[in-house]
Amino acid sequence: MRFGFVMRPPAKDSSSVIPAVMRLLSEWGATADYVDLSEGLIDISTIRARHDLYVLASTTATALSLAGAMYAAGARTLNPYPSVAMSHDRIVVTRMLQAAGIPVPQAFFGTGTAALARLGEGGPTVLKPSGSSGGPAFNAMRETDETAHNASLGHGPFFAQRYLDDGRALRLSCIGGQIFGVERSWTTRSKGRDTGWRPVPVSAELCTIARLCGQAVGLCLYEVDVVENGGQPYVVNVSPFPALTEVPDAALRLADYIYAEAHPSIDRHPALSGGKDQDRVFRS
Amino acid sequence: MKAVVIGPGRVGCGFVGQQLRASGFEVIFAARNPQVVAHLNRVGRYRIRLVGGSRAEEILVEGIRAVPLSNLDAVAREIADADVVATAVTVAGLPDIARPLAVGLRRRAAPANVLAFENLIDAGSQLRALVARHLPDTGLHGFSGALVSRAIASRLGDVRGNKPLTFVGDAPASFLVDGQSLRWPLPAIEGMVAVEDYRMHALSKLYTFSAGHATAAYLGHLKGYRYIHTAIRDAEIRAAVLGAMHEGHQALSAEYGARFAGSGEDLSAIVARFDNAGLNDPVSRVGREPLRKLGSEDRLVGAARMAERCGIHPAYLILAIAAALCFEHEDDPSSLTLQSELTAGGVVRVLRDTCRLTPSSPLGRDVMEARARLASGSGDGNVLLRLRDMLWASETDPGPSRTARTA
Repeated sequence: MRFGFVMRPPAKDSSSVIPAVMRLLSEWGATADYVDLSEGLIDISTIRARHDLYVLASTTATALSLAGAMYAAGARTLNPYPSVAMSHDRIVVTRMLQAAGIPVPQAFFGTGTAALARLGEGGPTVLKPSGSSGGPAFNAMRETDETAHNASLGHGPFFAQRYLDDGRALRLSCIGGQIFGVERSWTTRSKGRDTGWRPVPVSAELCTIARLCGQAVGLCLYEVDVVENGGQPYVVNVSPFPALTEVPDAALRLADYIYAEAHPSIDRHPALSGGKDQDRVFRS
Repeated sequence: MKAVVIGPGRVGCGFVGQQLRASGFEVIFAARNPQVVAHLNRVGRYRIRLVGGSRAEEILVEGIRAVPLSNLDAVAREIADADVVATAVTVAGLPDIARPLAVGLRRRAAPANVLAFENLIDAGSQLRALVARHLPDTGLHGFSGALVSRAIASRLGDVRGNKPLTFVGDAPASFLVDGQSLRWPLPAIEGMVAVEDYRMHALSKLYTFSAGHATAAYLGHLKGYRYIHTAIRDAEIRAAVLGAMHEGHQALSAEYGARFAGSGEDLSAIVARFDNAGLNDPVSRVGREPLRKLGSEDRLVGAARMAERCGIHPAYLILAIAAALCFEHEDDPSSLTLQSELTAGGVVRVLRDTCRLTPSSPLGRDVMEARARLASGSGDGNVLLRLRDMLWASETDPGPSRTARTA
């Protein structure tokens, strides 16, 4: 059984769960490799599936292109490549969530500083690059004069959401239908008493919202950021791979899911490569 | 030499058939499913995949054929001149095979030995009693349970196809039979060990290996894991599994002496077997049939009762019983019945009728208390994140169905 993790190997001091997941899969008899194009040159015609299952664990432009090329060559991926590619674009995702009836803050996209200035006049706004699922999901632009500064976000269109602050932010990690929540308080963070994320039970309403997000975007492994305002939850971000920060036994849970997802495609044990030659036969 | 194996399932093919073929027996399977009969006759062989960590070996078992269990005459003809008869149909299937077995035994001129590869303390005597309803004079024949050491997790392949089925299990290849219940000379089967104190050996397996396996499955299910090899990597589950097996081991030592209980090293070796990812053993398979597994003499309740009798507080076994009471899986009718019974009659009735526990006894009270704690969050796919502070992934629904569950 071979697993490919489409991503750069994380730094040694990284909090990523992926190294622990790969270690578990290896201990269970599988092979787990990073699939990366770090400073390399590759003949596109040579790209093909060499693993039983690919885990698309990065949404950098390089990782997405590599994943897409392997998908085109028949690779089996955890999270369908088209959904991951689509979820890379916040503008597209926001519209999909709206179409599915999922509560999101009022959102905009535009180009140029004039548009940014107009946006700022409408009240506090969260400004994000449109073409990435990562980035500062909770950075707020409160004053109009910040708009020019924030205009340096990138060359493409900007994406903005009305800022909602009710003191509670939740991150919901979804692993194949199971939903795990962690909570962080905005007010404690702004006062410099950041205690970090802590696991909390997720309400039935939020579980439903998280599941609807996955259905809307077509993901089975993802993360949903939620802020609450006036007692109403709003989805502010959907990422196609969960960080699983502070989720108890996160690596074990993710490895269990990945292993199960690959299992139906496995017909032979990885140690059995020689076929019939290795058989002991009891003949009549 | 000829052997008839009733039940070509995981144990029948994945263990019994292999040992019999390795010992030179011609093997005829009797199967309830006509597709299985047709497949085995068409393909004439199957594979066994023995796995341990990253190592695996495949064995091809050839020289087999099958008859339909529904064809009484055909089954009886095969049994009439067989040198040994084996069953591997699960406890629930035993009543259905009693008649064909009786018809076959009636036609015999010589005594036969019948080995019941069922996970029961008294499989031999239970099968004898069932057969006696159709054949009064069963005394001519030997009936014994057979304790298998191998775990066979799955069958791969499609009986409609022409490729051999594959049975996946771990390596151990010995089995125990009750030497006092069989007719001599005993059949010469590879790996067979005849013992005089079969019941104690059966209890020893049940209250250590099976208790640990069930603990891993029921807590693993609550924690949302899919496989036994994953569940056992969870530190809280691993501690509970070792704890439950240790309590069973202590009870066995106190009741029968250390010889039957095994050693602490044996318990570590058992846990190492649960770690075997090559088995791909789903939590749902190991946990299925909770009604049977919650029986008064079975792996959890039986071990807990014995421990309590011996003055040992079975804290981990109590936790495992409580977790078993929460087990619900859509593909397992026994678990659905259990949950219906809990809803209809409450936990008191299930403890009394299924576990044969007095709810007001110390053990009964402890089980009810532990079950109430777990039931407050379990159900509807909710996942237990941490046992120590009972942190659940989803908030508890205070609706009427939940109230009924915790009643």
